Amino acid sequence: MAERNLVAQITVSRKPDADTEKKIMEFIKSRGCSDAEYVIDPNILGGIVIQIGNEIYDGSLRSRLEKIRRAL
Amino acid sequence: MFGYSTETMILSGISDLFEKLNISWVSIVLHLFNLVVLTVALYLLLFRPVKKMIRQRQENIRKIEKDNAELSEEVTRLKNSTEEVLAEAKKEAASIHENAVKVAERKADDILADAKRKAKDLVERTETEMTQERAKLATEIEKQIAEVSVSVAEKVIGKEITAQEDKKLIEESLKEWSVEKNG
Amino acid sequence: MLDLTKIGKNLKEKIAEVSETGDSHNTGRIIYSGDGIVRISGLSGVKYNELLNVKGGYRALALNLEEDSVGAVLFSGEDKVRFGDYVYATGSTAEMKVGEELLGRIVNPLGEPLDGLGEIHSEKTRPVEFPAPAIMDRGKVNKPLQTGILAIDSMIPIGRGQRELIIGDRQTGKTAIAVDTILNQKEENVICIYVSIGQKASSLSKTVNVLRDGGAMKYTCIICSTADDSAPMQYLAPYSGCALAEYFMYQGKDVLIVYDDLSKHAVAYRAMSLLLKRPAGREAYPGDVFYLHSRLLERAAKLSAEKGGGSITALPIVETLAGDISAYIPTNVISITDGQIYLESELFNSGVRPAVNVGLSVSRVGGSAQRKAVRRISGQLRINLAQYRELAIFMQFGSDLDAETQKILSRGAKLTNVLKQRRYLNYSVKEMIVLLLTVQSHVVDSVPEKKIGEYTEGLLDYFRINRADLMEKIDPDAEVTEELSKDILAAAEEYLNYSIGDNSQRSINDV
Repeated sequence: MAERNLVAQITVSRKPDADTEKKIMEFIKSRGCSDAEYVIDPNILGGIVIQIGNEIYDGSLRSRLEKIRRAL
Repeated sequence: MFGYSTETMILSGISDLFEKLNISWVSIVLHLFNLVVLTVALYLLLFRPVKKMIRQRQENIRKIEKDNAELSEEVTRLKNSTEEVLAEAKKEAASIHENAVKVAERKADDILADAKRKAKDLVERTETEMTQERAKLATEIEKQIAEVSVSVAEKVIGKEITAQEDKKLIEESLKEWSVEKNG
Repeated sequence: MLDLTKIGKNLKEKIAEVSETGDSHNTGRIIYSGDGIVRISGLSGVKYNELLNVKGGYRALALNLEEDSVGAVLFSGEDKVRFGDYVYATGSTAEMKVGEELLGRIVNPLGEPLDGLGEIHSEKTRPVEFPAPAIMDRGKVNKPLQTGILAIDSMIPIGRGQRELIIGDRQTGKTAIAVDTILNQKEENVICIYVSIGQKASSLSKTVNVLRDGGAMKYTCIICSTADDSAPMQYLAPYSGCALAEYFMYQGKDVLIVYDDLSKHAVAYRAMSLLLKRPAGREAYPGDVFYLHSRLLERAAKLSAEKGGGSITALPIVETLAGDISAYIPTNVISITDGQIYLESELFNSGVRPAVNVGLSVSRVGGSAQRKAVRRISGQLRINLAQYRELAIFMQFGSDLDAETQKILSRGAKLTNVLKQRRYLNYSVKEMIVLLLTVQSHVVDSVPEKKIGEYTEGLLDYFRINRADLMEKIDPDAEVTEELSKDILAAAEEYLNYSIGDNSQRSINDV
């Protein structure tokens, strides 16, 4: 399967430090990814969005706000 | 002249008269006989049929009278029965009328009840609509407040968040997802 | 008037409810959007018939699962979704809100209110698609569903748990029969669901008003998809209605569900299928259009006593074109249902309303569910009518008729007249018994043909008001005794004297 060479697309609001980066790599490796591709997008306000293949892990502040807005 | 008895005087007078009138006894007898024959003949030929006719007439009249009596009796009877029928008809008419009134009343009641129910429904519906309208307004206000507060939050968070906090957020999320996968 | 503090409290509560966690989704992206259809790449784990959330709050239904993409139909926002938008799988199939709260409401096929009467606070949902009751779970149809329409209840009886098709051209009173039936359930403890599929909003509002004015909304829910709703909404409506009906059925209640109408449902499904590029078959319907209706109608059932004994009676409506019942959809649905009520525009236009064609209408299971008294009396009805029809054709040749034939003809004409019924004028079972007994007896021979309608109408009033004692004696579940029927006929004759007049007049009228 193509999953072996999956590249995770990681969106953050600012460049993370080395320690965090290591943890992110650890996580995406556990999901079968070998490489990460960083996108800096201040629009997400904070937190992180990781996309691996079809899965999206959305831990951004933007999505949380969005959630609150929808709930109201 | 006066020596003669009265009778002989009358007799002689009559015979004198006879002589004077030139009438003989024979002709008298003959006349008498003639009279008898005439009387008998008249009786037989005239009197009997007339009498019979009269009797018949009388009978006829009696019969007519009887018929009349019967008829009048019939008439009274008929009159009575007509009255009876009339009374019955009146009774029937009354009952029909009563029936019709009953039906009409019942129908009127039904219509009234139906109208009342409809009016009640309408009032109820309007009331619920009113409360709903109020609720709608409330949610509308809620929505506006939420919209504003979220926009404010966005503005503030974007500027205020520090690198440290960001890191914490990222690590929290990562931990959570790892647990999710393992669990 | 407005409680502002409450609004603030509500907001705080809602904020507290929102989970703080970030979430992970199975997602895909839209690679094609057009005509209400979207194709999505990704979404690898999605199931058939799963509800999808499109970014922006729109919803779609996954219907085509292919190797590298998913075809889905949008419920709303056809012109809002864009190429590249994210689509999230919700993990659940389409669901319908259910519960007692829905009675008296008008909702769309997803359970959202359309009547402006506020939110529906019901936590319970049911999947829109649900397997039909198994064979062993089913019971025998043994209870009648009274439509209140003499022609139907006497000759084409419907039982609870039956599926009876109402079929006919447009403007033949199909909806009228269904609505009358709903109105007649007022005292029958039957929950009614009226599913409108692709109907004009104007005719739907008329129906709603009739139900509301008749006091029927208390036990009725209307699932509504109008002609301007998207095809998927129309496609979903009957299944949603059925889900709601099942909720009540599994509680042991009796439910009546009207699908008005399934031909439009098939058309909506055809539109969807063609847009999804599924192969088209006869009349351009997709191959599974039979299954479309069979799986829907199979869910109507009578449950066995162990399962609570609830039932769903389905009255699907199908519109024909120019009386053609051999078209694709009509034949399909006829073969699925347990009988049909066939309405004819010719009869309708000649004043026979309801325009039921007794010859072509059948009920395959309702007979055993008919009330005992009615079954006995109406046994001969069909034959008598058939005989009359046959003779009526002969009569057109104008030959001399003997007295016997003339009697059959006049009785037949009167019978046809009695079967005419005004809208919203439903008969109770007892009234039907009185009518059926009278119209098949010697009593009607004295009623002039022109006055029969007047006579029967008045007769019922007369019985209701003046002979309530007799009406009480009638037991619909037992055979009508000789004595009772004699009493009824005597009373009918009595009313004859009231309404028509005595013998002499009658003979004049007759000539």
